[in-house]
Amino acid sequence: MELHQQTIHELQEKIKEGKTSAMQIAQSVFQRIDAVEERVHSYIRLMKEEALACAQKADIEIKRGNIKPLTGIPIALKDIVCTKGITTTCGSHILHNFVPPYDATVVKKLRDAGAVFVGKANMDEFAMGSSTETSYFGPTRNPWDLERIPGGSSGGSATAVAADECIASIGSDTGGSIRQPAALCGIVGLKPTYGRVSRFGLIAFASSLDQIGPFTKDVEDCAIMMNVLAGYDPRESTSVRAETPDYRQYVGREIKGWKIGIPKEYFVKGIDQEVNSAVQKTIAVLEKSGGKCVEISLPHTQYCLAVYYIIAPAEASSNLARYDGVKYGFRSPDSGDLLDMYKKTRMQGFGAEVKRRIMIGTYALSAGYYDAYYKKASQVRLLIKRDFEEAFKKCDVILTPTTPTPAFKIGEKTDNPLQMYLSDIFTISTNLAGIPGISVPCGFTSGGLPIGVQFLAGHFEEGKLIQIASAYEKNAKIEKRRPKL
Amino acid sequence: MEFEAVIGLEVHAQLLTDTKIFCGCSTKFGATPNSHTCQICLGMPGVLPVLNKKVVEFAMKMALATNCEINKSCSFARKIIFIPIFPRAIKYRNMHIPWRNMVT
Repeated sequence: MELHQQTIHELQEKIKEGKTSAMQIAQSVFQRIDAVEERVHSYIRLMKEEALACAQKADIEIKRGNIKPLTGIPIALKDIVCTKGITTTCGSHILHNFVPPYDATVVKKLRDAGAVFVGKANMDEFAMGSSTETSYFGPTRNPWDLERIPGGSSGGSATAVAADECIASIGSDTGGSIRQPAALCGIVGLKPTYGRVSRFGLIAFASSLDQIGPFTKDVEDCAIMMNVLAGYDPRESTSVRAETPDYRQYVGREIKGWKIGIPKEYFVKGIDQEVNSAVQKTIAVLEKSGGKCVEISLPHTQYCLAVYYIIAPAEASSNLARYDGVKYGFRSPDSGDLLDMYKKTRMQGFGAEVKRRIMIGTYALSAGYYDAYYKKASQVRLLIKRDFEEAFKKCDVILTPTTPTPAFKIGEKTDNPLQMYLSDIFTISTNLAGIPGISVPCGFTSGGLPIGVQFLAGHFEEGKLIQIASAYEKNAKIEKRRPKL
Repeated sequence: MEFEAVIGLEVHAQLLTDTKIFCGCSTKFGATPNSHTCQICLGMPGVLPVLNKKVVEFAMKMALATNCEINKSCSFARKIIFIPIFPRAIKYRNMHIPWRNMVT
């Protein structure tokens, strides 16, 4: 097997045994990028020069015996996390030339853990989308079928891992933007609990929902990444001073006696037949592994999408107010006075989906409508959160499909925003409740497209997710396939 | 027509804190321009405010001194204002759930 095809733990073993070097791994990844990037378009910007210099330094540390959790491991970063001195666009024209003067906390943590940054991954503009088609820099293609979308908004982060253009990557998840593309690309994606990972340096979309998490090739790698990412940060008010366990201890543990909640509201019409049968097979595997499935109810599920599309655009409309052409980023070259500059900059700088959400959000927050929309949505959100609290009294984890369908065709839903929003129907509730969720590969369609299953747990119970995902991965023996590129 | 005069005063006071309200930058007067700034007070993409503990303490003292009731929870709201001197184009306001209620 080529170096770029391997996992973090496999490469770490080889590095420790002196069988490979950080430079060899980095070169293998960049050779792979040379071969497939033109077709997949995972990256907005590659950092080859920086990566090779970093790998060279890593090899010096390795020779000294100083091997950290990610020493020499090539990692891709969604272009939503700020990187000091490296353009960070958020997939938007309005930030096409923005060079942050600082590093996000996760970037610093990964760097301190020895990671080698490969590049900045493509994404839907300001993380608004489910297909990576709203990126100003053009769409990313699904490596399993280049005619199809990879999911979004962290599409580039997902394809970079799935197409072996990096070993692991960082994404962000506001309504499913890690788990949905992980499912559609056949890899592992975790959205941690709200407050578990610092968002300092994450360009905000909807601040009460945004969370950073990893994409990896297997569950053990997910645990390794979480060990690096999790933890309190005094520069981020919503990061929580909760104890962070060693997530790796949950890998390989059994799940005998666990109660697995199956929410009846998530198994309704509209789910693709092949997705449904793959998820049913997952349930059978888990029961064979000693888990017991119990039917549960999340009665406010039907309101999730409506609540999300009030809260997320409302918060976005104020978070995106700062992109006004005054201080950084794009400024319309043909503007006259101040008001004209604001209008033209924002009109020309933002894409259609971002403008749609700014308008929805501004409307929902405007005087006289606040109580009817934002306040009401916040109240229903509390009911959705309570649904989960009640459900977790009856089960250890919840199982659902990650997405209602496998990857759809490029252009299939771009003219129908509502259809596009529905592709996040199973992932949005997690963000509204602030709980963690993981998507794990659970099979393929007859046409060879990957399918994902989602596990949810209570606040700060990422360990449980890693445990059940790892037990499933071990016992299901899903055929190991790689996309033919 | 008879009018009743109702007069209210809006009094602003600069709190004697060592650092700014939403970031760790110094409030010391007389430094060179742009030396007491950071990514947070410049409103760069990717930052959120961290409230200064001392400010909350001062607000509580003021509330007690003026015979107000102190609320157990409080929230800030954002007001969107497009003026070039506001780097975030939003103002933080203590609106829907304030620090204190007036006791009348």
